[in-house]
Amino acid sequence: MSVSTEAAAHGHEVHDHPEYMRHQFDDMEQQNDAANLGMWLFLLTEVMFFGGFFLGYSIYRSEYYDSFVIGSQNLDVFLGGLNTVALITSSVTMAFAVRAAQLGKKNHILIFLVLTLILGLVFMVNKYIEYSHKLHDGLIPGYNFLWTGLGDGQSIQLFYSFYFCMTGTHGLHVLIGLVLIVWLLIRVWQDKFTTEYYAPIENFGLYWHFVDLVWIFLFPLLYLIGGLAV
Amino acid sequence: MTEHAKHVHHAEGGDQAEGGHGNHHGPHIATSANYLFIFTALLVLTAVTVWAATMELGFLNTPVAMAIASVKAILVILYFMHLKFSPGQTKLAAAAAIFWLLILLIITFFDYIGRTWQDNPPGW
Repeated sequence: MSVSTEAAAHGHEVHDHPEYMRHQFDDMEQQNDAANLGMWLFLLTEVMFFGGFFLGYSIYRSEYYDSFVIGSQNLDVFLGGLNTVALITSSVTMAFAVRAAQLGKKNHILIFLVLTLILGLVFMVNKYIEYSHKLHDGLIPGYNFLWTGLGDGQSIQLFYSFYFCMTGTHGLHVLIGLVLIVWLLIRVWQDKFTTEYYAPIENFGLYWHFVDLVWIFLFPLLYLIGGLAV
Repeated sequence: MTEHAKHVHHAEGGDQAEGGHGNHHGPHIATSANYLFIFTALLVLTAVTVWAATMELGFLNTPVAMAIASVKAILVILYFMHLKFSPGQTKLAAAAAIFWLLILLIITFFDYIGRTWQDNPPGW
């Protein structure tokens, strides 16, 4: 690597930049802005992806409101609420992980990423408990769905189809997130990031916050329809 | 390599002072207090949304729940996702996401609502 020291910021020569800076960028600020924009564009496609679910949910909910209320009131609000708190807390630990990266505090990045990982695992364990109860109660649409309570079983099954599709897709996102956190932990451990190159951590943070956002809407829409009986 | 690293650092420092485009010079680093405040607000709003669900609000239950969720979403987007301090093109991408989502939802809703406005032609 030949280094002409004046270069980097403007009009640099070909190899006159650190490994992590790609050739096509003038400086790290430009590269970071590009990475940030790219991540947001990906999240835009994710918004449209989940948007389809929310659209279908809204239309069938207005069609079969009473059944959706019955289905919703059969969900465990306590577990749903606990998961909301777990995800929100994991979002704030993730925000702190990014902050630690900005400040270049390796140990803090590791601690906050591990906390985020643990909270994500708590979410998945809760989800597993919820799903296995539904399996046990015979509420898996198309598999063992049998509605014995009041109401129209057919359209209540529709509610559960939305419940499983939406929480399932969301849960898959959490699961992918957990794998990515492990990958990030390894990279941080290997000292791959610096105070000017931490875009992977920041972009993962954006992804994780987006997953939190989806849940923020899923929780009231699935668990709290038609009011809570207290 | 060391010399180089030093240089990059220097270049960034110079960039800060330059004041070229917008407010995006170096990353915005929020304070811990800021994050903890947003965190508290999100927890309080979660509690409020569960509490509101126990109230008899009639048809207002869902709009209230969605309004609270939207406030939470805005807090997450602006502060945790740093959109407030992001460059213009990123804000545009975020606005585009919301814009297209609204097109998807609103136009389809009007289609469904409009279907009952007149009798279907024979055969529908």
